[in-house]
Amino acid sequence: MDFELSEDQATIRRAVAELAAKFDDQYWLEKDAAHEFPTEFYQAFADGGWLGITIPEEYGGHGFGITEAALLLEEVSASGAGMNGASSMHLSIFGMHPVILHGSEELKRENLPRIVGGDLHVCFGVTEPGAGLDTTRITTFARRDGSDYVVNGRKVWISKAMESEKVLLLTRTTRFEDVEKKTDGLTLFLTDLDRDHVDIRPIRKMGRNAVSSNELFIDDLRVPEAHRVGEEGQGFRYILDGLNPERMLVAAEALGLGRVALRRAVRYGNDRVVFGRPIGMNQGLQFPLADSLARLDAAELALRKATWLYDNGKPCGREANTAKYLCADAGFDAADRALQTHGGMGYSEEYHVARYFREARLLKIAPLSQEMVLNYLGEHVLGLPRSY
Amino acid sequence: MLAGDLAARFVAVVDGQGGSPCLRLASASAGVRAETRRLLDRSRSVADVVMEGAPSEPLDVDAREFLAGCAARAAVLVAADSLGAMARMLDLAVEYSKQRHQFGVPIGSFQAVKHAAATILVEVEAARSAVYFAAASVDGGGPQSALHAAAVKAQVTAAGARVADSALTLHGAIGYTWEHDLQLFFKRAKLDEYLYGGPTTWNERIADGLNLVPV
Repeated sequence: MDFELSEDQATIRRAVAELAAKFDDQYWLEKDAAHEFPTEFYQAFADGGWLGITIPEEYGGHGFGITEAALLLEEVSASGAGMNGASSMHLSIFGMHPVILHGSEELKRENLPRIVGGDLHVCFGVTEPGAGLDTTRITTFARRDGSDYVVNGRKVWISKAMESEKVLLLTRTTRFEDVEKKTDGLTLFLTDLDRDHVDIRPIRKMGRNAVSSNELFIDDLRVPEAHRVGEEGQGFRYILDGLNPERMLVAAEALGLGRVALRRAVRYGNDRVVFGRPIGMNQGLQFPLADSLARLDAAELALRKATWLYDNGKPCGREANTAKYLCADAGFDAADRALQTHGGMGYSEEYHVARYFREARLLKIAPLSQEMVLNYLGEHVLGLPRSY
Repeated sequence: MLAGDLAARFVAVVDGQGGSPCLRLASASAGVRAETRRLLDRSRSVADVVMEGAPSEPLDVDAREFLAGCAARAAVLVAADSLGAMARMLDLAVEYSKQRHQFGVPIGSFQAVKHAAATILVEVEAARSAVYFAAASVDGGGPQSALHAAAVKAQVTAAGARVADSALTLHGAIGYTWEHDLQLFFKRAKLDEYLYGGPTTWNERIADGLNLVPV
């Protein structure tokens, strides 16, 4: 058993931390408050070549695995950029996975190098008002019209749609009622978010406000056949391939948030003096922080194992789900305790932990709730009857 | 059956006409055999009571109403037992934390110990209010009294089991010994949690009283 990072991985970690450190707490406080995309930050990462970390070298990327991508996003998050920083690039880092595996050569040549360069922003259009995790229930429909498709429907909780030029769009090309298997009849496209046919409305929300979350109203959006990813009717299978990596990356982001929250709490616990001594001397504050350290360390090991399995081509459903569950919990608890350590100051924006708290809470919900992770483990790992 | 090996008389629930329950009174005599079972909690006993051709006389009361009343009283009284055990364990823990020194100071000066004791006090006081209220409610026979009884059986006895764990932690290894009184209350609180059904069973009763979707 070898717990050491490879030389490349250690270098990635250090370099990402150095680059992210150029964007200080004030930068993120302001971007979050102004609901403004962190363009400078995103561009710095594009210029450094980081966005293409997992994209194959023949399309301008570095061809690294999910382990390296997780290290990158963890360090971004842990720098204090949090979910605002991670979400600005999350989809560039791994969202193109279905296109890389199943897209046509033309589609890849046209899009992947632009993703690496940073000038092409993409979003992920899967969830709908009537279909969250129940993906096969989506109703957004792509109707054949000559060699094109014409799409109509609604999507919701589409991160970064406001800032995106293209969308990886999951549709139905055969209605739910007309398919034999419910996972059939779904088709995936990588196409333009033509604003004449897609109305995008940001959702007002609790946190991660530098990156928008949106509702999409799609009205007669024309999509050429060349924008289809893989075969018609196979979209669900393509999306499925990306679920475990997504869980691991979100786990990494949650872990990073926990780390930065804990770091701030420790600093405050050492600096702040009440009753003539640093408050970190109180066991009531010290123990929860020590407990968070232990939990974050344990969650990190679960995550490293999950990404190692994936990169070595082994099944990782159990481990990816476990990592997401543990990292989200440990990250949120650390943020909550950091806030408590700060007392009233924690509630002010000035000390940043309130922002981490709001962002960490999201990770107990997205991309799937903790309860759905337990459903997965209960059914697919333990072999208990499906509960829903 | 609690104290089944000690009881002189038994109220037996038997199938009456049409399957509805009815009650008969029997005495511990010929035809009644009690097989004692040993408990971890040595302050109480239980037995399997077998009646074969035991003479009995009918009791002219509404069986369902009688049984519901028994359940409510049992729930409140076991919760009260748990409350008493909790209060005593708190006293023992606080006393010990002042007496026992580590690193040159009484362990009660450590915040983690203080906070644990304070948390027990909160459990005790919350339990006291709930138990007194439920007892008065069952006495008065109000329409919600069965729910109040279920609430204290579920909540207070669960708190009692938590408090037992915490009190044992505060005592360290001494609390694990036969000589120290803590073990008596620890075992009592642990049995109270599951006596006449655990918290889940009683929570189900509460759930049945709410307008929820059936499982």
